[in-house]
Amino acid sequence: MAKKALIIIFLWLFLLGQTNGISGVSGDINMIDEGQFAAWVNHMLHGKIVYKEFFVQYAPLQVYPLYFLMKIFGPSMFFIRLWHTVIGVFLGLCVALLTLKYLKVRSIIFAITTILLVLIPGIHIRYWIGILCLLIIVQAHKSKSVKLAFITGILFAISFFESIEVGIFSMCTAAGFTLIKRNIRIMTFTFFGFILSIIIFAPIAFREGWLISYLKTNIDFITSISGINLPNGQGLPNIFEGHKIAFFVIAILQFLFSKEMLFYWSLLLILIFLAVIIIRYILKKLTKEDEVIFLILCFGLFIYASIVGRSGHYFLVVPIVLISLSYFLSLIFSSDQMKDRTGKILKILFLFLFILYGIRHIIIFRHTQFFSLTSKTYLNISVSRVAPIAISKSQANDIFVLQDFFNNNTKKTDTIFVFNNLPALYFLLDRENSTQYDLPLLANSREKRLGIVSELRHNPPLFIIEDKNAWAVDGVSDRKRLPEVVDYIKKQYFKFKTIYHFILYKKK
Amino acid sequence: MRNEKILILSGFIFIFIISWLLPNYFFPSDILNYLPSFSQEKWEKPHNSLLADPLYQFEPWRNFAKERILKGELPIWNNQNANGVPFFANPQVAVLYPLNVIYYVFPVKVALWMIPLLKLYLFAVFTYLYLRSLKCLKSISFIGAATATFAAFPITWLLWPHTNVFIFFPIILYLTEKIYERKTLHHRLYVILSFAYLFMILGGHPGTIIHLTTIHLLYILFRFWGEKRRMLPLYASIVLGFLLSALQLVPFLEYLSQSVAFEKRFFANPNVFLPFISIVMNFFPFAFGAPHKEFYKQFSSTANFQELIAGYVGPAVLLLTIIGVYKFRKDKMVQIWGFIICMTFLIAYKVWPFWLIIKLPLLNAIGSTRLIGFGAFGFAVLFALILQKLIDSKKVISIKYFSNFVVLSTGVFFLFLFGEDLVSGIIVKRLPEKIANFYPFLEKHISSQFFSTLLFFGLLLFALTKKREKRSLLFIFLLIPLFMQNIFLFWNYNTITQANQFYPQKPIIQKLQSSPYGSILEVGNPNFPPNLNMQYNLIQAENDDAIGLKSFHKEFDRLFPVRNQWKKVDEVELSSLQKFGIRYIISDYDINLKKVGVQKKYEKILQPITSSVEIRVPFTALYSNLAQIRLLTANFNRQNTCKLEIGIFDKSTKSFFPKQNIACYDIRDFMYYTISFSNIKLKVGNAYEIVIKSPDATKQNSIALWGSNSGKPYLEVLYEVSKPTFALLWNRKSVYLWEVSNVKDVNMNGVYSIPASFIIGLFLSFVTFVGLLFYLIRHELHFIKRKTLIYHIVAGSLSLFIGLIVFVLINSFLIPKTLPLPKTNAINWLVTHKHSITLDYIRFGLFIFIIPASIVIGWIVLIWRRKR
Repeated sequence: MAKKALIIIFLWLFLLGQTNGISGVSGDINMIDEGQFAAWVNHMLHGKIVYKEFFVQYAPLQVYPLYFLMKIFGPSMFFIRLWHTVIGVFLGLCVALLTLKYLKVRSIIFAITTILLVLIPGIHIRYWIGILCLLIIVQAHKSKSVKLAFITGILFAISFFESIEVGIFSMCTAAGFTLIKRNIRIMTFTFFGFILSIIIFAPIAFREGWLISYLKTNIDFITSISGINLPNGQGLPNIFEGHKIAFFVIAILQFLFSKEMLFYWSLLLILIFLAVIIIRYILKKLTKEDEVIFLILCFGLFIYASIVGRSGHYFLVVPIVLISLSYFLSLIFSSDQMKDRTGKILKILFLFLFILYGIRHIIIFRHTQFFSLTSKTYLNISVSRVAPIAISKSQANDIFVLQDFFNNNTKKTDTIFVFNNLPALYFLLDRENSTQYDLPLLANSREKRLGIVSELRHNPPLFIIEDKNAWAVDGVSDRKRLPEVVDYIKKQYFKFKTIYHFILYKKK
Repeated sequence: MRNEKILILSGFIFIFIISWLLPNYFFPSDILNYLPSFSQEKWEKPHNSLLADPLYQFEPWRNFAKERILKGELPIWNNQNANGVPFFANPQVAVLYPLNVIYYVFPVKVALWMIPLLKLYLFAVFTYLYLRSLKCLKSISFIGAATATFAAFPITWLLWPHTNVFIFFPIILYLTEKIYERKTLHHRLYVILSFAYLFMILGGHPGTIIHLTTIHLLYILFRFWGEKRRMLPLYASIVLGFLLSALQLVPFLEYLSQSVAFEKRFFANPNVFLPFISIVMNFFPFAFGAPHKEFYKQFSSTANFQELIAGYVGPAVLLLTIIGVYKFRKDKMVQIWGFIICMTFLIAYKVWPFWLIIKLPLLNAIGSTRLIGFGAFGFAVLFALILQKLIDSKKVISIKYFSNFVVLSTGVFFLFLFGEDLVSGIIVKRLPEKIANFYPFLEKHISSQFFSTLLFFGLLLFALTKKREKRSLLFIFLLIPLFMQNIFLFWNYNTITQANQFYPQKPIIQKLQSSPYGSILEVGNPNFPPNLNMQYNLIQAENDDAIGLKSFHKEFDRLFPVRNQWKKVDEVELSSLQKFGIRYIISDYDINLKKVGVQKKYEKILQPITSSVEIRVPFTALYSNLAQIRLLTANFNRQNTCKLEIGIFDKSTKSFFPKQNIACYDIRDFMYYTISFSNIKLKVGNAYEIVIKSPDATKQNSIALWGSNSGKPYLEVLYEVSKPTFALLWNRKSVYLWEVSNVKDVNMNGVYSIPASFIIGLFLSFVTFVGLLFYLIRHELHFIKRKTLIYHIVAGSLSLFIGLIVFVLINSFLIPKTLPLPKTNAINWLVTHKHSITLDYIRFGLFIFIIPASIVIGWIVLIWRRKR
């Protein structure tokens, strides 16, 4: 039954996708999120060294599998889609379902939670590998198994190579738990597992030539690409600013049900659950499941801390909230004190609120183009380096025309520079970037922007591409973000051609 | 009890449905006909001219509030009048009054039906509950509620904020009675009482609020006499009710402290009382006519019809109550209500020494006349109590008494009719024509009242001949004479108008709306009264909210000193207009002309101009170019079809200049009429006469002029002496629209700050609300016998709520609003919006600390208490 369910979920993700409308076989290419991986793989396929010769803000395990896949099967956006949107989500879901099972969630709530988790975008193995680590460490302590402890250590290392922040958060959470449990054996074997993985990983990275650059990138991330220098992110939605007192009451009401408020709702729910666990601890009613949920909530809280500066990423925590909610809901449903009439009403009320919370997210990510996707005139599955993903005609036309132009007017060895944050173009046009920034917005400081100018000067691209319709990340246009680059382009380049909404600049 | 609830609920559903189904508007917009600007083509007499306030003030205010609220704003300021005035602070606007939510949510037509109907219905239900709490039978409570609801005060003041407040009187008394009963769950009653006060205060009429509170305090004093300790929580509830409404009251008090009207009233001796003669109206409400009937004339300068009849409940109720009070004078409740009724009537009718209480500060600033509305309610309560006592009485009177009464009353009634015929036959012929015409109406009215009173007592006596069990059923029939004396008299007091009459778009309005936005001032006749503009999204130079900003009025009065009989600006100067940013003027005369008063007294209406009456007014020419003459006219509140001929007679040449003919139909009551002349050249210093006649007029179809006691009509002559200053935008008959040049618009958008009083009020209300919530929950928890998981959930939610409040307070008051951004050359959203991420982290830290901490602490306290 469980296997069948997993197959159905996989097929669902592959063929239909979550409510954001992105599946393994259809949905427009996300030129930024998917595009950045594509650009990096493209550079690697052209022989460039990751971290050292181009800037990558993610951990190596997010890039290398894609590189290997494309090395074997040939370059296509499909593998990025498959790896991140289908397999990544599927694995994340598997961990989530495992968690639900571990927490002994009641079957009906289990089913509802599964449906919500499948439909709401937010779950991914990148984050959920951290939770998997937590599950195993609890189990290791429970069964006092050194093998599990060792595996946990390896998993911690993998999570670290999958995402630096996830690795740190999961390790901090587990460390706290281990310290409370004071089991030296488990602690030691976990540590061994972790160190062993690092010992294997470091020489490989060193041989590839990017170990030092990788470490530098991580340090750069922690020091200069955070806080006020955060390249993308909009800070906390603030109920205390931006509203006149006269609007206050109505603004609050609107805010309560707004997308922004979901950030706070999730946080509030996590804090309530944490408080409940503490109370259960005071009442000496703590169970093993409570320990797991407590660790998951702490992990969630860490994730929250990391998205304070980019509250738009709140959906990363939604699955954690959903799982916690389902656990506490199960407790309520199992409670002997809730069998009278009032208790039944409360149960229904809580269940209703649980579903409402899920539905509110589904509404945000609702797939508005679902019906037009079924139309043949809408889809195109023949785009080079995209196929077999079916994308919209308009996006396909853009790619076709650009590919045609660059194939006819440039050589494979020519470099280009995409002024906007459209890294997918490097991959789709199969051209190298003159600079190390595929996402120019990551050149957040003046020094880095001047670095781009310097690279453009020393390795002048044949064409610079600017998209008039490019999404202004956080409402700040690229021209505003990169004034030094704009000045350079104005001085050294001229407007050569306009293709749809793309402007091509050529060296004077 | 369950049936009662179903019935009450059915009433609400019925009102909801009927409000959607009823056609037309329950609103007196036909009064706009009085304004010449709104009735250029067709003038019709309004159904009831006394209902002007809802038309000119309450509805435009409510409409403005609705627009703002639906835009997501709290309407704190009115930016459309008097260069900006407090709006929310004016309690009569009643922005937060619960019933007004209907107006904000439903279509206007539906709301205009639903709100008044609900007001009456709620008042009836509350009165019913109160009478039930006094141990009256259901039938008696129903009769009492019907009597109170259909008395004059609730009906005639239905569209005013007075009744917003008044309808809460019985429920407040009901709660008091319930508390008096010493049953459990007192805490709920105290909290409900506070909220009843809150809603009552939000109703918005300060005078009625003070009256109600004073009477309620007296009621408590008498009811709980000798039980001082039990009084205190009640008084505390009232105080908390006032504190709850601080959001409304504090801004109001601030506005009041700057009020020109309050200053005038506060430092003046109270002089608004009911004329003693009007006591007759408590028996015969139409004794001096009625505004919704054919005949009406305001005979008191201090009180209008609505105020004079506020104490009316019907002669039958009045007589039975007077008799009953004497018979049951030892009953405590009879004593309490007897005292309240006496005090209200004695004060309102200025009976020495009782009225001296009105000299007390604050009481002197509010009208005392409407106190009798509470007296009328007292009559209804006593009436019900007496009926109840008659039912409870074991004494059965003999049928002989009843038959004797029937014979006697029939005789008296016929004698009355005979006597009346005799009087009309002899005296009426000698009466002045006007009174003689009124006599048949009065005759019918008195007969009806007399007959219904006899019928009432006949039915009452008949019921008393029966045994106790049958009486309550028979008493229901008393409603027939009672309805004859209340609802049948007032059923059409309030006006129903057609949809096309509801604030119609007239040419002058369209002209103003299509012109650049600018402040409007009416000069001379009322054509576009202040606040009416809010209905049309136009701006007016004046405001009329019965409070008035001192500073504004002082300056306005200084720059526009010439006022007319309506207290409206009558003359303007360019510099004054420019100073106030007034761009448009609506006047009844050409304001470019030089206006010279020949005779400016308007002390009485002169004799009607008929075929036999010609009016000649001599004047000496001061300038050569006569362009207009301006008269103050009277039309006897009727549509006259005669023709008026106006000529200027040159005494030196013994000849007339070309005459002007005017239709009497266009003449309005107590308004100016301006007649334009062209090419009239006078010789300066020569004597001329203005001759006015109406050859086809009769006494019943004629107009008249206002003038001095010596018989000289009001007259102004307007000369053309200089080049025009103001540009004429629009003109029809006696209505002119002018544009003032070189006016700098006063920017009334976005210049206001939130007043501190509002913040203080909000804070006080909030703190009180939280306090009451705590009090309620604390007591409610004692009633949860099984302290189960639900108990924990309640406690946990409460702790969470406290945590959130603490977080909000800390965030609002302790954390700085901004922090300096660290030095950076990054260009991102945070830098662009100067958004401090450090503050974000502080907030985040606070949030994750305070919320779980509050929940856990709350829980620990709970556990500790349980263990204890």
